Amino acid sequence: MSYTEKELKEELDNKSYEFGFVSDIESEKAPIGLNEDIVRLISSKKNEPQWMLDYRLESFRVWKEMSEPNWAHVKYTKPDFQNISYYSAPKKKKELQSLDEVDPELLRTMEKLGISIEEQKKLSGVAVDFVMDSVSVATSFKEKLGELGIIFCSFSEAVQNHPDLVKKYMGSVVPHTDNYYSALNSAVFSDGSFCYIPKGVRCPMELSTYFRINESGTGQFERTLLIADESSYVSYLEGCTAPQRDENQLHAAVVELIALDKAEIKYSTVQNWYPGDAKGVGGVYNFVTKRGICGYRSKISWTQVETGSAVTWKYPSCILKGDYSIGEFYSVAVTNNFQQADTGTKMIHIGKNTKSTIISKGISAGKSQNSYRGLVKIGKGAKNSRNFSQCDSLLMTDQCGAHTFPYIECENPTATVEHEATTSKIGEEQLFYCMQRGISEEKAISLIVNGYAKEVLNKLPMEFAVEAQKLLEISLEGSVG
Amino acid sequence: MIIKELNHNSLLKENSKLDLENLNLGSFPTRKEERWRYTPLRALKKINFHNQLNFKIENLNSLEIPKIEGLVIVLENGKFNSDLSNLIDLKEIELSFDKENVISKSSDETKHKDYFTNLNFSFLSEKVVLKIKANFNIDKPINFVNIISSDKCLSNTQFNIEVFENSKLHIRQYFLGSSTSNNGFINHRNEVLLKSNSSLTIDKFQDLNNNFNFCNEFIDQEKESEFIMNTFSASGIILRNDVSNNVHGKNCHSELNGVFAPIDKQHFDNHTTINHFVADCKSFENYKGVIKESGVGVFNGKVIVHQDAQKIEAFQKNNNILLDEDSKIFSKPELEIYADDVRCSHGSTTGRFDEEALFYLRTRGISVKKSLELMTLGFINEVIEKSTDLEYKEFILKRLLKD
Amino acid sequence: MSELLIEIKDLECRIDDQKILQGLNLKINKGEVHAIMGPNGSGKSTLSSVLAGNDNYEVTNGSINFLGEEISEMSPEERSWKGMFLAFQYPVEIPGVSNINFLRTALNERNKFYGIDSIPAKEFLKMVAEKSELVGLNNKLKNRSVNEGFSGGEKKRNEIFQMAMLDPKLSILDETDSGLDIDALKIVANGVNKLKSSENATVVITHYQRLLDYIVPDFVHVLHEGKIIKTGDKSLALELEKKGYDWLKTDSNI
Ligand SMILES: Nc1ncnc2c1ncn2[C@@H]1O[C@H](COP(=O)(O)OP(=O)(O)OP(=O)(O)O)[C@@H](O)[C@H]1O
Ligand SMILES: [Mg+2]
Repeated sequence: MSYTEKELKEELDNKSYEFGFVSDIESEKAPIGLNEDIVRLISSKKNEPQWMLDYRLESFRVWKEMSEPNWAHVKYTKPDFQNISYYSAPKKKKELQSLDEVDPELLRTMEKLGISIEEQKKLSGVAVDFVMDSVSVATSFKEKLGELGIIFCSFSEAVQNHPDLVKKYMGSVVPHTDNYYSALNSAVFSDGSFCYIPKGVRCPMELSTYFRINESGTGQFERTLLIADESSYVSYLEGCTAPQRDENQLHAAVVELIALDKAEIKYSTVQNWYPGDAKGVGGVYNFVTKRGICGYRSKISWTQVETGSAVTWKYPSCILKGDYSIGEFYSVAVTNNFQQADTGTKMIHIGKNTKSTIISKGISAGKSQNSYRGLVKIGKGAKNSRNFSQCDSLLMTDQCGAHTFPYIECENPTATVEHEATTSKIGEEQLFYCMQRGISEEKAISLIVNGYAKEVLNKLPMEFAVEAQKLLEISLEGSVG
Repeated sequence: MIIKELNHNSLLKENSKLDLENLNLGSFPTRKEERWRYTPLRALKKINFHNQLNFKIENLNSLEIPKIEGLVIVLENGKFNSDLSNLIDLKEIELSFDKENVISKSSDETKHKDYFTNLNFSFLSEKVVLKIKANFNIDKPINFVNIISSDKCLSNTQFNIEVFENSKLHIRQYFLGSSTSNNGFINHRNEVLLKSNSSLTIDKFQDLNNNFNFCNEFIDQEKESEFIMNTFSASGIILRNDVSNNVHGKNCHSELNGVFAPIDKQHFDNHTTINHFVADCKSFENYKGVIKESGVGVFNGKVIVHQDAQKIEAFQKNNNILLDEDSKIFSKPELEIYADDVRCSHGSTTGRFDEEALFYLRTRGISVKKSLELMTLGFINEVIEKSTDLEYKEFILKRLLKD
Repeated sequence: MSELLIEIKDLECRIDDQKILQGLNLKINKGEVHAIMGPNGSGKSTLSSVLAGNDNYEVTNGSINFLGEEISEMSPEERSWKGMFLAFQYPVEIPGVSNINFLRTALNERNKFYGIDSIPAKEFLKMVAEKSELVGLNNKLKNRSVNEGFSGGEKKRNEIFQMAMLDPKLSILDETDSGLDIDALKIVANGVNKLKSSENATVVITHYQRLLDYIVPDFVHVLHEGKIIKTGDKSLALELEKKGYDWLKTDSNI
């Protein structure tokens, strides 16, 4: 691991949520509650065209008819949707030409997040879109990407400047009728990221978005739309944080990926929303719908490291529509204290010779509940398709839970589906061995857990891998009784 | 389900007060319910059932089953058929038909009270109660044959088995539909209580032809007991098994195995829940699906390790072979673990036979059809071979492979 | 003089888009032993698979005449009934199917093809006892599942045991010597020699001249890039053992 023991000690000394600070940035907030007027307000604040407003209103109508799902293996007080503010933007927002114009407080916030844009720029040339309280505040490297025809901007900019693309693809993978939270998001989403990679272009750098909930009593509803045109390639990173607060904050995002023929999208997430304190107070409700669709010979790969949120409900999925398309899902989910996670994936095989791989590593500590829920569906026409799933759970205490709920549905005899799952305790011999060699218990756990999760961590881009390892360590602090 | 034709008065004294108009069986299951997600109940729902009791079978030999020896209890169309039965007197066993018998040990919450359970209790036509006294080892299997031989007949039956301390028993259950009857339905319930250090093996064979069979099964185990159930599902329009195995004592062994082989649009549904309430137990599950000619198979196995049930070892396996187009399998192996010092795993595979193995067999001069048969046999053998009775094994294989 | 058993002419085949055999010619008479050698990946196993009828390989050109009949389109089982036998380089495991059941099925299927009654159990078991002795196959292996959990050497012996049971016209032994210890090598070779007659022929594919001390070939062929680039007598194997293949490869390029 690439950080010093001193750093580690500092982290260990400070057991509170690492990113739990509140940025002191003035912001503009919509009145709490949700009704048609609020939807109209959001739309007008953003100066949206009529078609966008219509889409929102229609989604809102659908949402009102729906009820919150309760099939997931999680227990929580349902959020009061009338007690949330659906719009919060840092005040005095104006078009920013360069980072120098960004509010210095905001830059400091980013630095605290460990993602100093300057730093990132120098080190690895990552283009970053920074979404704070659901409004995109800064996108770097825009020009450089523009030369290649790559569009990387905030969602609202895309609505203004690339309405054709947005109209064509928004809702094409996750329709507003899909589920309760996606309907809500479609009605009230405030901003998010938009990305288009033209035909044949290999995006030369990692694209990255950082999401942060800052204002209290707000919900964050961002939307990401990523289109990789034929034979293009893009690797996309998403990071999430929120400050420490007593009440539960709601995050309900929608991410849609479109990989056209022969395109490849790699989508990585390090999710570190505030998980609540050791007593289970506060924390983010993370109800996210992520889905991608694959064309002929295309590939979508989801990698996620989930350490945050009080309640997670998330299933990044692939619709393998094109023949020979490939879907991958690599996940590490850590839950501690009173966290609850119900996460996994859906691989829908429609095209012939499609292939999917699922590697899920769950780690439960404290009094948390960690569930894998996944669907592998082989449609009638999905000849010679293959799936392999491996779902492992590691238990750290006798008060937590680890659960596996795989659904395997196969309607084609030429397909091969393999699912394996194991649940076990962290190896006591391994721990003892490490400790005998002078490694502290906490450090030993982190070593073992990192080894256990390596298969997934290895799939992350370099810049994220280190951060993810650190996160795993922090999340498991004090996890062994 | 259309049950207005059901005649309850003649069945049960205590049910005679039963007011059919206001009978509340709960709502008929729909696919929206997780437990019924894959079961197509439409055909069943449309049938106008009756429960007139009549006997048609003259001789057990007319049925496609191996020769049965020893104690034989036969129910036909829901009623005890003394002519077909052979109630030899065994001093170790108490046999009765006491409908009031209650065996329940599991807390009520583990016994789902759904439509078919209510139906079973409301129109219960026969209940067989077997008690095995303590300290006996009965080596000859006891046979329980449950036949449906009349069209659209609904048979609601129950079987209670209580095995007392240190005793050992082997039961063979045959659920049969005569080849001439259509749309009959055996809605059966098994309840088992195993006292400490007892052992019970149930071989359950379902061959319903053009009829339905649902089995709701509740097994409670006290300490050091052993329970093994092998379910062989050969034919039926819809076969459904809901097994709930509740382990209350330490050092128990629980084993659920099965082979299901639906063909020709048949639908075989297997649901199992193993509840580990206490520490130091082992459970094993092994279900094999062989599905062809538009058959549909379902496996939904759940292992729950409750808090404080440490040192549990639970293994669950489901392998399926789809032999042709239009066959389907839905597999859902689940683990719910609330204790940390456990070793649990499950695996599920679905596919077709290995091409290379097929080629190998063919180079040895074995035709494609025969090769597939051989490989099917090899595939299910792991479960079948647990039976030591050669004749029974041959018979089961023959019916499962349908040759 | 001697009678033709199999004639392979201009055989070409490929898998996916890769050409493997590229114009292979070979003639084998009854009573002969042929050895095929050649570097890894030259196509030896492919040739044997194609002869046995594996349709993973697409035959794009050429002909295979076996006992006066063109067999390129024939199913693997029919080829087997006609007397083709392949001892696999990597014998396949078939879980749950016992060796005995497997062989009995194989013999009966062949009998059925020729309209002969199936073989009585007693006779069959006698045959099993006889033939397994020939290759020194451990008795307990016969009741185990086909090749499942067999050691490498046990698998190879089992292949020869099956060969003895099926009594083929043409036996192709694909690296049957690999994985055998010295004693086993002698036993297996001995078995093969005993099965030899003026009516059948054997093809041994091997990397080592050692086997050829025991099963003495009439011809040695060198396969390279899907073609036979050199044919000689037994002494060629000795030469190859000393010099390797490089000198031949350059030769063939001229
Ligand atoms: N099923 C297959 N798919 C793809 N390539 C194959 C396949 N079978 C054979 N090949 C390729 O064909 C070539 C010949 O393989 P083959 O197995 O016939 O070689 P060989 O001469 O038997 O080698 P060895 O001495 O290592 O056994 C190799 O390049 C191999 O990779
Ligand atoms: Mg080879």
